[in-house]
Parts: sequence; C-alpha cells; structure tokens
Amino acid sequence: MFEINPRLKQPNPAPEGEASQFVSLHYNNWKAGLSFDAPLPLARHMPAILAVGGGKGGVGKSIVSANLAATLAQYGYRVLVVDMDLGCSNLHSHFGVAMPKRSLADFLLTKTTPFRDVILASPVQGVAFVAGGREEAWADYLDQPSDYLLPLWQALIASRQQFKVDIVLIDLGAGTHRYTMDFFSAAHLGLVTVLPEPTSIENAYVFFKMTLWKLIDNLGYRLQQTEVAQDIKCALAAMAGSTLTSGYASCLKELALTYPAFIQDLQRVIQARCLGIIVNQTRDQADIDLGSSMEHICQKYFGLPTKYIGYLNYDEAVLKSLKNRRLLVSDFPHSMIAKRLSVAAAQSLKILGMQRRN
Amino acid sequence: MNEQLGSDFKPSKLQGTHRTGSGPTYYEVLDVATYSTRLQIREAYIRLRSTYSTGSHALYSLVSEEEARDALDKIEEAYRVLDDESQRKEYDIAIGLVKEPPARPQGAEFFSGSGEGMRTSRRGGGLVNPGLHEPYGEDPMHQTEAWSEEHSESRSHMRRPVTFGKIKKAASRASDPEVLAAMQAIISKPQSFDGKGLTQLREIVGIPQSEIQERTKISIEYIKGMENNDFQKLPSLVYVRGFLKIYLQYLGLTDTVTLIEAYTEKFNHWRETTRPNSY
Repeated sequence: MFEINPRLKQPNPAPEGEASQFVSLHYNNWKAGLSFDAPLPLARHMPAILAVGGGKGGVGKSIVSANLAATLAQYGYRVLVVDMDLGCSNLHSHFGVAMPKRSLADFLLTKTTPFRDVILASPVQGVAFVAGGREEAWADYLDQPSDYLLPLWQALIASRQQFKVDIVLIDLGAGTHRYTMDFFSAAHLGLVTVLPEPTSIENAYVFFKMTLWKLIDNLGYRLQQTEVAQDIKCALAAMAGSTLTSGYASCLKELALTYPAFIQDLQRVIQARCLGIIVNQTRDQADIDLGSSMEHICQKYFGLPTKYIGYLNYDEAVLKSLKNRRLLVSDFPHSMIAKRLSVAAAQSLKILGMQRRN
Repeated sequence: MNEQLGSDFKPSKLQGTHRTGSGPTYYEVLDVATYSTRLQIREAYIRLRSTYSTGSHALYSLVSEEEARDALDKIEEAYRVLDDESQRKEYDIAIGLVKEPPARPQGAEFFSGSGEGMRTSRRGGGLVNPGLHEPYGEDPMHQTEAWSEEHSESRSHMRRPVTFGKIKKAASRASDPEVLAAMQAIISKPQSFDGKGLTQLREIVGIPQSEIQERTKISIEYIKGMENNDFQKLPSLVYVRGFLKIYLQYLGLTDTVTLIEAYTEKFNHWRETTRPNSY
C-alpha cells in the first residue's frame, strides 16, 4: 500500500517527473529569503514546499493539511506531511492513526532515529506523514533559537532525492513562533486558513505582517545587512497607518528611495513566494466573498502576492469523520467539502505550475 | 506568472501613473487593465464594493471605517465613468491613454461597422450575416443613415456584453428626440399596428433584426414572423405577447400595452378566420 519505504529504496534515486515550474523559476530569489543555513539541492531536486498556517488556533490548519495532502496524492503526487505544531501535535488523529511510536522528537531531540524511520504510512496511498511527537520532550526546546530544527530542514529539502517526494506539506501551529515563521517563510506556497470571523481575520493579517517581517529579517541576514533590515522594520512600523495608502506596500515603495538595493532584493524575494488564502467554514456567499476581498487587501496593503485558493463550506462531515477516526476525504469522498478541497488542491497545483498526473 | 502574481508591478498601472502624474487613474482604482471589457470592469467593481462595504470583515483591524468609505466613494466614481462607453472614451483621452478618437474614412467605417455586427451576432449564436435576413436591407435610409451617422453609438453598443435574462437597456438610439417623435407617429395609431408597424419602429431606431435577436433572445424566426405577419409561424398567443413586450421595450417604449393589444387583435382575427374551431 505504501511506497515510501526505506527498505525498498532504489540505488539510483532519480526523481521522476518534472519539478514544479514555480520552484525552478524563482529558485534563486526564493533562496535569498530563507532563514536556514544549509546547502540546497539543485532546483530540479527541490520538492515544492507548502506550509499551512493561520495565526489563530482552531481554524482548521491540520484538517486542511491532512486532506489537502490526500487530494494532492489523488492528483498523482507523492506528498509528505510534517506536523510542525510542536508541543501540541495532533495531525495523526486527522489521518485516523493513533499516537505513533516514532515521531519528530526522536529524530530531532534524542537523535536516536534517522529521518526515514520517522516517516509513517498514512491510510492514503501517496501520502506519508511525520508526527510531531511527545509534548513533554519539546518543552525545553521551544524557547531556544531554532537551530535544533536544521536537521529537519535538511531532511525535507533532500526528500525529493531520497524518497521521491514531490510536495512537502508543513502543518504549522497556531501563533507566530519563531520556528513557525521560519518554515512559513521558507515555503513556496504559504497557505493561510481563515474563518469568516473578525478574530481570525485579525490574526491572519498579523500572520501576513509577520511573514513580511520575517522575510526582511532573513534577507538582512543573507546580505549581512542586519542593521538595514532593522531600520526598515522600524520605519515600516512607524509609517504604516490604518489607510490603504499608508500600507506596508506603499511604505516599502517610499523606503526604496533610501534603500534602493535592499528593497529591490526584498521585492524579488517576496515575488518568489506565493501566499494562498483558504476560507474555512463558510456558511453563505458573504463568507465566500471574504477570500477575494482579503486577497485584494493583502495585495494592496502588504504588497504580498496573494491568491484566493478556495473556500471550504461548513460541513458536519468534518466532525463526523473525526469521531469516526478516519480521514475526511476518504470517509466522505462525495461530500461538498471534499469537492471544495480538490478545487483548492487544483488551484495550488496551478500556482506551483504543476500538471495533474492522472 | 510573476506579472500575474505581482500586485505592484502591473504594466498597465505603471503606465497610468506616468501619464497622469497625479493620483491613481480610475483603472487603478478598480484594479483592472486599461483594455478590460465592460463585463470585467463590472466584476472588479462588484468585488471591490463588497470588500469596502460597511458589512465587510475583510478590513477588520487594518483599515479604518472612514478610509473604507472614502475608498468606496472613489470606486463608485470610477465605475460610473468606466461603465459608460462615451464617458470612458472621454476619460481615456483625458488621461492620455488614447490620443484622439479614431477617425477613419466613411467607407471603411461602414465595413468595420458591419464586421462588428457579424462578430456580435456570431457570439450570440444566431445569424452569421445580418444582411442575409434583412428584408429592407436595400433601403437607402437604413444603409446610409443608420450606419454612417450612428456608427459610433451602434458600434459601442455592439461591444457591450450580452446580458442574459431581463432587458435592462434599450437600444442606444431610442432616447434621441427625433427618433422618439417618429416613433410617436406610429404609436399614436394603435388600430393599424401590426408587423409592418413593428418593422417601421425598428427601422426608426435603426437596428437590424439580428440585434433584436441577440439582445432579447427571441428566435430570429419568430422576429421575422412577427414583422411579416406570418401568424402561422408564431407560437401561441401568450408567447407572442411576451415577445412583443420585450421587443418593444428594447426599442425604448415604456407603454407597450396598447400596441400589444392591437397586435393581439390582429392575431386573434387571423386565428378565427383560418381556424375558426380552434380556441
């Protein structure tokens, strides 16, 4: 049933199929916005990296991650889902799997297990996942700089060469922790899940802002111009107001007069990523329209390339499948929400420049 | 893909800013390209209106309510101008998008005009060549006046997207006082109103059958049947009355009842004489 198996590893692990167009097209610019310091594989050996975040808790990040991965696998891709909700992980439950014995904690903290052994089979063919692992193990680490996550990053970027993974899907936790933003800013396509309610929208905007901040930081670190990055962040914080004309996008344009080279690089770094908005639990047309409104606002205010990926309607099937302890799209494959998920998956593939394989 | 994703670097936006020098153009306000169709502009307008309306949550915690109201006013203003073909043309000239109105020789105008008509009717899925079904096609009034004098208006009208459902706008010439006066002459004699009167009204407004068919979605066969008094080709009375109503409304008439009644009388007379036993 499951193909990502270390014992079946081929001697010549040439990745099959084309790499994502988006990934190879923006490879150099994308590289400049990373916070991880690790040698990268060639562009064609790079898996497409998706991250699902959203700031607020309970907006459906893990549900979207698990089911989007299953839908992408139905389109013919090999997907690796990583539970990065460290300390509060429950991705395995969305796959209908009990708390696994091997987890990310074994790989990163105790270092007893190689990465290939923490990759677990999911009930869907083409999807593998890495569980977050024991809560108590993470307690001491979460406050520290995210150097302890570097082996994970190295394993993820090598996963296409080693395990023929096409898409790495990172399920992030709530909040804007340092490691959360590290991985979100490293994603080619960062998905933000929003509920049609003010609190969630507010947090989503905070998340966008933190993404911008993180990219400025990372670029400053790459160019060894941390002071410039600091200055720009201070100036942005002082200049931004509550009007569209004083949003971060227009502030950055003004700052381009002072720091032309840095802002130009920043724009390239920003354009090498795409943000996607998924509106979850929509109940009426106004909720659905919220996505396109937010897309417009993000482009105008933050200047980030944003796309409305799709909406997921409010559906009792979600709760039922969780209670049945089965994956939503395999428990209710004909539900409306499963169809909406496949639309969202198709939209994501389109942005990444990947063709459906079947 | 870059261009598609990048919100800041749309070439159209940059062009607009360079040319005006002050403030965003209406195209930038609505976030559309300068070559957008009317339908695209309308879609953008609806999307933005819902974004900035007071009930919208999308602005929460980012943009103040006053700012949203200002933005909404600007959007309304931009849409009002860009939705109107003539105002949009003037605006394009004002911001330097179009240098001057395209002036072409009379003959070329005629051909381009008829070409437009063909294209429109093909889009509507009906006629390929409007002249083919034009019973009064050789009428000099129709050919010269209607096309040469009114070419700009009728062409701009042709470019409008097809609206489905109810007829919202009448033919472009229908508000002309001269046309109204000429139409009034026919309307004032409802007793003699029949298919011929219908044809005359259409010719006064100066539009071909194909346009009626395109805009009202009445089958061309029925339009011809109604105009030629071929009652045997028409469907039952209730449909004919409905067709007449949207036909006349498209010509710009508001009071259609008397004319429909007059036509109904003719229709009933024909039915009683040819098929007296039928209902």
